[in-house]
Amino acid sequence: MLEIINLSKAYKANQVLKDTNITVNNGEMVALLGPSGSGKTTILRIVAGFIEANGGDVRIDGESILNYEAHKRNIGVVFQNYALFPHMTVQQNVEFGLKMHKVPAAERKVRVEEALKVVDMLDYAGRYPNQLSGGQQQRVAIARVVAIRAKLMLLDEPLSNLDAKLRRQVRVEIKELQRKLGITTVIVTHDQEEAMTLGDRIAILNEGRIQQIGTPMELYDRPVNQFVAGFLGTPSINFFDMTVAGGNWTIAGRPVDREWAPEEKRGLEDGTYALGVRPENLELAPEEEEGFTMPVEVSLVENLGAETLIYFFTGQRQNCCRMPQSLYLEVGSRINLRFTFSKCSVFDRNGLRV
Amino acid sequence: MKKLFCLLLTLALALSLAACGGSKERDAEDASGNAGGDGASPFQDETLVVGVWGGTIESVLRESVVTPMEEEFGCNIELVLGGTSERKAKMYAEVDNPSMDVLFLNIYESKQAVDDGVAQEVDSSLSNFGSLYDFAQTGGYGMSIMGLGIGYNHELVTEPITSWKDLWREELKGKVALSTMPGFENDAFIALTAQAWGLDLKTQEDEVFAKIAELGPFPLFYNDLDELFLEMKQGVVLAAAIFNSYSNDYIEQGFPVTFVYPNDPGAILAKDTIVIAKNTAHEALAKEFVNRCIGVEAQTAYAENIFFSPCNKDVTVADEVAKKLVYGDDVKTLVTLDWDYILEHEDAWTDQFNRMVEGN
Amino acid sequence: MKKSVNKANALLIPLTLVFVLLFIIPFFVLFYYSFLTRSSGQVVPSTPYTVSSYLRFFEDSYYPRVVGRTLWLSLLTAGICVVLGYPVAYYITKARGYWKTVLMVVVILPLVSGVITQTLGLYGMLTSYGPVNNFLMWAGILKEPVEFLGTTTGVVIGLTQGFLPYMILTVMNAIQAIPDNVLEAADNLGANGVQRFFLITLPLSKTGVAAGFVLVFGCCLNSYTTPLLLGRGKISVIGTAIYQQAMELYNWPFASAIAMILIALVLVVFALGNTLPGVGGRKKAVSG
Repeated sequence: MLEIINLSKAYKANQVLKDTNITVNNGEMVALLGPSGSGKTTILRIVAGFIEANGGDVRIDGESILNYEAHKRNIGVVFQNYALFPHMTVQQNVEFGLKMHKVPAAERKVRVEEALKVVDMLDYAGRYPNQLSGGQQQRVAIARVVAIRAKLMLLDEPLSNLDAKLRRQVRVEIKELQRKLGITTVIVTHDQEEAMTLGDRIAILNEGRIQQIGTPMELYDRPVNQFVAGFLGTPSINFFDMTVAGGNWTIAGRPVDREWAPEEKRGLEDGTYALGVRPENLELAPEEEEGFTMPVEVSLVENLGAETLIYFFTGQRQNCCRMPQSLYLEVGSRINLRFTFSKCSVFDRNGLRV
Repeated sequence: MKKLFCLLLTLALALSLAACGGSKERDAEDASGNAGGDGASPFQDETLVVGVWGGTIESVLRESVVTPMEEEFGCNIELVLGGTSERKAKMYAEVDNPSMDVLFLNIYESKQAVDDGVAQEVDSSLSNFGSLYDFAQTGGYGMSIMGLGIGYNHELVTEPITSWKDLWREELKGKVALSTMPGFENDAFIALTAQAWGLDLKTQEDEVFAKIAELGPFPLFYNDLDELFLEMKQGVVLAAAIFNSYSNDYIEQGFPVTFVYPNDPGAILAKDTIVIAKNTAHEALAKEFVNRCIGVEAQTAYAENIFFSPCNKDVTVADEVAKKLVYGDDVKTLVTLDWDYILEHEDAWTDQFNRMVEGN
Repeated sequence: MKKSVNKANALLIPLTLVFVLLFIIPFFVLFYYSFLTRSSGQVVPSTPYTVSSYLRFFEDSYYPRVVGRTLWLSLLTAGICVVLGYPVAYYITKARGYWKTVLMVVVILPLVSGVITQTLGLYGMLTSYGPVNNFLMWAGILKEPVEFLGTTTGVVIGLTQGFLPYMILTVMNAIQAIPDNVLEAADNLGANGVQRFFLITLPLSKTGVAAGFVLVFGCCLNSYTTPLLLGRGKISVIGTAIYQQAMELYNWPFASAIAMILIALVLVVFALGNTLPGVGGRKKAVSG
């Protein structure tokens, strides 16, 4: 089990990480997700021992590791650019860690083979890294970690150097591999799709702070703040201006009859709010329908076959609606939208979930 | 094909010489100082290019010849500064279309250039020609006389040196410096060693070199007088064959060195010589320039300002100055070497010298 | 595709011209000259064609010895530069901020100050009465002054001093080219500092060392001023021999022949070096 406790890091006046707490359970894969500069890579580098923390602690199975030098931590890192040793063959790359750990030659041979078999690279043992594709290099990088039987595997943006198609394939492979090995893993990424598919849980970071930790669905359905809501999901969540005055709601300038508002949210105080509605929580509705609907003008249509994305404007803001079928709509035509209020999130003026 | 190669080499040579040949100083002075009045000067706006050494030589030449001529004739005289080997190489390379009209060379370079037809024969009709010593009338026009004698550290050498043979004294063993080969000093030293020890250079060359080798191990083969005098002061070197005119400066600066004109044979005659390039486009101006250089006025300026001994017999200087020159009766004691023979053998001697250096 | 290739070729033209003008043509001129005869009174040699210049080189052992001495001095200097330059280069690449700038300036400064100034400075340092000897005697290492000048030791010291910056800069370049991640990966896999240096940094900067070695070696082969001044005219090397023949005796054929023999030898040396295990073939697989 990996525990990151009150971890903080600053470069001179620049506080890049503030009081961060994350716990990763054995065998679990946690994704650190955030935009660049959010501090996610800093966490990984502190855990790996490449940089020192200013405060807090990192523990593995209850024991602090911060006092150990990087080479004594037995934590495997898979780097963004794989960082294979260019002057060594695949076999030598994988064997390197074992030699450093003084594993006897006979055992080394067995474990290198094992590791290469796991990543399906046994046939390439004699090749040099520059003779391998990006995906293959990555597998060797993972095999290096597998071979030393690291207690913890850290993946630093492992897919960002691959093309889109390969990325999807390797993503699946990594997930399967991690499950098979049962290795506790932390993966750093700025790609929300990657985080959602790979992470058992996701920790979202922004400006050096953890915003929310939870399973992908928890984060998707119940984001604690507007940042998390906006960061997860493609196309991203729609925000509509909402005001509450004397118990009466107005959404994007249209009044909502009191009885149509979702029951659990009827007690909102007077004020201005942002209503977060995911594209799939908007539906087409007949014009004369009872309840709250919103007439909009279609500005763009993307028909993806299995689904259709319909874009429209409220004020200056572009919104999106996702229909789970193939739809033919003219740009400029007028449609009526219904909100699935039960799945909407309401954020106060500070961006926090209400 | 061969022409192409010649052209390329000339180009390469010219480039490299221009690069290492020191700065080319253009005299920007206007010709407006022309004193000719109505009658136009015969050399109005002509440009004469003169190759000469830099430093004090340049400034005394400028003062005594260049500036007066430019003012008088409205011509330009451009001085290209540098050492003689580069100058000579350039003259040979550019024989058909010389970039320098007048060149200052050393005694054998000028003779060789005249013999090879690269430089003009002397013109005895110049008005100052008759005033030159006989030896200054052949192989170019003599500009100043130098005597190769011995400079030695008088603080560390116990007994004054008077003859060339004294260099072979026991106390000087391993303390005599020679210059790098080839060069005037060593060419002369080889010839005078033969004369001093009664050897025939033509038949006993090996014995001559063996004799020179007896001076070894040599502390230094100098190519720079600063280096030589520094080591003489420090006692690394005690004695060396050097020119009187060059040693004056250092002695004046306080180096503990005495210069002597040794006997048996005497000091060796050397001279700075002026030649006119064979195919110069400014022959008349060049001759006027040379005539002024060998005239009493310029020769006196050379003697009084930088202690270069005059080639013009009519020059008279004060005793104080005369002490530092090869002057008057001294001149007759100077030994003239057989430069034809020496130059013919310089190549072979260099080989032999190289081997002696290595075995040193 | 074809178009871009043509464009790329066009971009190479100036470089090719410079190369041809500065290297290829002079090489063939010298090659041609080496078979000509020196003619008295002319700088430019002429026919008849002859191999006498080459025969003269091998006439006795003097010139082969000059070449041998030059090769030996150059190899020794290049070797010493590796040993001295590598740690310095390594240290500088690891240095940070202001201190790194200071170190860089110290390394580059000698390159800007010119060979003659440096050599004269070194001359003063190395004389039998100079500061180096004084220090060694003061420190009790020497009882009597040692004569560095006029010896191969002095020349090697001078060449090393002159060309060490080239080695340092080349090696620095190579070390800096190693991605930080690769070094971190070594850490991560359990290598301590020493293991990381010998197993990763050193092998990966090997090409830089080789390049520096070749560079220094080449510079030494060509050196003239340093051997002349610090050798006090006693240490004859190829540079001084060629200068003597070409510039003082106008014997371009012989000077050219010496140069040709030198070039041939250097080619042989590098050909041999390339066949050594671990220097040639494998590098291709790593860097390509």
